[in-house]
Formats: sequence, C-alpha cells, structure tokens
Amino acid sequence: MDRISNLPPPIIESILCLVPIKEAARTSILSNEWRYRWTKIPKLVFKEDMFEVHTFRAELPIMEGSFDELNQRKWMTKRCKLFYAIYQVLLKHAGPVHEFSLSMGADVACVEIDHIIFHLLSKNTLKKLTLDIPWDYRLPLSVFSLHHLTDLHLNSCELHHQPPFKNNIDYIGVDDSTIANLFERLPVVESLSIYLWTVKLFIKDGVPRELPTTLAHLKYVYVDYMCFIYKYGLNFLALLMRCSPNLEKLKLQIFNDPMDESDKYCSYTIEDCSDIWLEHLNELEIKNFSNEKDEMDFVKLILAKSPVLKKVKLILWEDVDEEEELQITRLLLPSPRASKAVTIILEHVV
Amino acid sequence: MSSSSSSKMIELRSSDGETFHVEETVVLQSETIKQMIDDDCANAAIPLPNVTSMTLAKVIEYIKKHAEKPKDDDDKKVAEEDLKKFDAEFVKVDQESMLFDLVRAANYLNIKSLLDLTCQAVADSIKDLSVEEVRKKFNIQNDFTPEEEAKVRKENAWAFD
Repeated sequence: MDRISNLPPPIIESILCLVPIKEAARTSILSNEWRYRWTKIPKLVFKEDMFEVHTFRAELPIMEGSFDELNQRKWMTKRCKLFYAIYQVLLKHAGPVHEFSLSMGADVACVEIDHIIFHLLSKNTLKKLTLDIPWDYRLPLSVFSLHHLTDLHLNSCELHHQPPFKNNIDYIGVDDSTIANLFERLPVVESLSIYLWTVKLFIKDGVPRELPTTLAHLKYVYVDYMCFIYKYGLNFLALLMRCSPNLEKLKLQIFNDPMDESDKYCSYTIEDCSDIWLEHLNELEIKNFSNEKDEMDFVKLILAKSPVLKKVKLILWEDVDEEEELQITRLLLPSPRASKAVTIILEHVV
Repeated sequence: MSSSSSSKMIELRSSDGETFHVEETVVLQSETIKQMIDDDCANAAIPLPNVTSMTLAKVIEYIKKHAEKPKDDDDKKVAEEDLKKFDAEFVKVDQESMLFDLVRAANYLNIKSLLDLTCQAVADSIKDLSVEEVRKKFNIQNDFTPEEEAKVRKENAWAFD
C-alpha cells in the first residue's frame, strides 16, 4: 500500500485542510480511494483571488476605451467562478463543516452569501466563521442563529435588522436590542474580533449599559479601528468588559479618526467604567498607542481593575518620540495596580 | 538522593525491542503516555508496538527540545526563534517514509504540536504539485479508466480551472 493512503482518515483530512481547497479537490482524481476524501474536510476556505480571469484578445477591440467596463466584467466573471465553486463544494460536502472562511468584495444585497450562511445554518455544525468582505455587505439576521459558533471574525460586514417579507433594503434603524441579540444568540463565542465601525450599525440611540445575558465563554476580544473619541468607542468596550466575566485577553488597534464628524464626542467617561472588574484578564495589547489622555486613562483603568493581569503591551504610534515615551512610562509606573505581577512593555512599530 | 532538577525516568520500548529512558516531565507531552502514567500503568517499560526505534528516537529528540524552558522574557524570545528553526530543520528528513512514520507516531502518542508540524510538512510537500506528480511521489496507483478519470475531472471542473 502507498505511504499516504494508509494514514488514518482523520489525519488525511487534516492534511487536506492545510492545502488550498482547490488542490484538495484535485486529489479526487488520484485514485478511486481518493475520489471523495476531500469532501469530508471540516475546514473550507474561499478567497476571491483563487480564480484567475484572463482577458481574451478578441475582447480588447470591443472594450477599447472602456477599462472600467472591462474590469467590471472581469470582476463579475471572477465572482461567478467563486460562487460556482462554493456551491459545488457545499453540495458535494459530506460531513460536518467546522470552519468556514470567505474573503471577497460584495455589495449590499449579495444573496449568494446569504444563501451560503443559510446553508451552513441548516448543517448546524459551524464553530468558526470568518467573513472578510470589505464593502457594504449586510449580514443576514440568520447569522445570529449559529449556536455552535465559538469564533466569529467579521471584517467590516454590516449587521442589520432586516424585517422579513419586505422588499425594502433601505437602511433600517437598528435599536438597542440588536447588540443584545447578537450576543444572546451566539452564546458560546470564545473569540470575537470586530471593527469598531461595525458596532455603529447596531445602535440607534446608544450602547446599552449591560446585556441581558452573560458572555460566559468569551475569552478573547479584538477591536480594530478602536477610537476613544468616537461616540460608541469606550462604552462598547465597557459593555463587553462588563458582560464577559471570563475575558482573558483584550487587544485593541487604535485609529483616532472617526469616519463621521457627528460621531465624535464621547460623553461616556472613564469614571462611568468604575464598576468594571476583570477577574481573569491576563493580557492587554494596544497597537498605535500614543499619550492621549483617553488612552492613558484606559490603561490605568485596566491596571487598577485586573487582579491577574500579567502583561500590558503598548505598541507605540509611529509619531511618538522618545520624550513622549518617557512621559508614558512616568505616568504609568506609579499608577495603582490590582495585580502584583504585571509587566508593561512599550514597543515601537518595526 | 537526586537534585531537584532531575525528575523520574520513564522507560519506553519500541516495536523492535529497543528501550529508551526519558524524563517523565518530557514524556508528558504525549497525551497517550500521560494517560498511562495517570492510570499507574507506567511502572514497567511502556511498550509502543506501533513505533520503531528510529522513529521513537526522532520523537524523543523533538519532545526533549520542546521541553526546554526559557528563564525570562528576553530568553523566551530567543528560545521561540530557536524552536522555530529547530522545527523547520526537524521535518527536513532524508526519507519521505520517515515523515509519514512521524505523523503516525505523533498521532498514536497524541502529541498535538508534533502532529500539526508533520501534517503541515506533508501538506507543504504536495502544494503546487500536479496530480501526476502527487501520484508518483506517494506511489498512488491510478485505478481509474481514462473515461472515469475524465468524468471525475468534469465533476470537479472548478478545481482544475
């Protein structure tokens, strides 16, 4: 017998998960034994760039002077190929899907993605979902019903409440309950990474102070494009911290430029966070840190409220000079700490 | 008796009858052996009927290296780099069969990091190869008729684009 085929089937599946899905599917023609092996892999990763689209010479004269149109057509072809592949894989797939990842450009109403999410929902085995969709794609409400999710990574998809049975894809005002909904329906999420501006779409009048549910499983939170002067910055963080008693690691990437002027002026202050207590937090990491008061205050808060904190890593904004760095150290060193064993590391971006 | 740095030794016996003595703290990386120790079945030499002495020696080299503990944070960074280099070299084995033996041993002994490392090495070795090259590399017998093969290729046409 050959060397690879007699490995235990779960091992072959995990090896197939480590090669791009196209290559995994190509193993179907190795031999009869391999024909359906790839259809059992639990991890499915799709990227728009998996498919090359060639421009045919014959097309060029017709499209002359219209590069935009040509690009648009190329993009559509690419997209069709991608969805065709995803549909093929999902139709053929035999076994649980634990991990699904999709990165592509999409517009507001991309029904294909909705269908895919709906299909995954019906399988009800998904643990990790990554959607990296840099345009305005609006996530359907059904994503809230993926009950086994432990990891959710949303890169800039918008979350919307869309009333069913209405042919209306206008922006629907989202009320307080939506943010609660998201977490209530994802009860076992352990790791959450989210762009701060995604949060805005949950909120109409403000961030609720507390959630009706506790996020008992949440251990790791990463907020990208964190902005303390943004209206929904600190209060969203405070909400997460208040409701996640088992939070172990908090990571922020600062971007101090709210998209919208009207979103500035956060009335929520660090004093409003004084009730927070982070029993299990052992690591805080902030990228693009500067000596802005809001940021310093936040670090001081974490130091004072985290009894098992071990490490605070501050990766400094590129403009922070040596003098400012010294000042940060001077201000943070005497700051009261709940944990005796905390190390503060200042680093420059390399 | 002994200094505090040395720990209890565990005896392992390979399929071809060779015995190896490894510190208990090192060998605990294997969930399978850890279970045996917990169940108090490790008083005599532990027989490993699925692992040859050649493979076992490699596995022990790996777990020994991975059991080294850095002293402080500075040391930790250096040690991490060092370990990365070690891992990269470790999977560069002369014979491909050794890599598969290691996958099998890591699976049997339930050493997750070694299993991940060796599976990744197998995956890397088939990346970018044509179907024919993969068949040749692993000595896989193509038992499709040309018609059948064409049919399977058509079935999964998106992947052969």
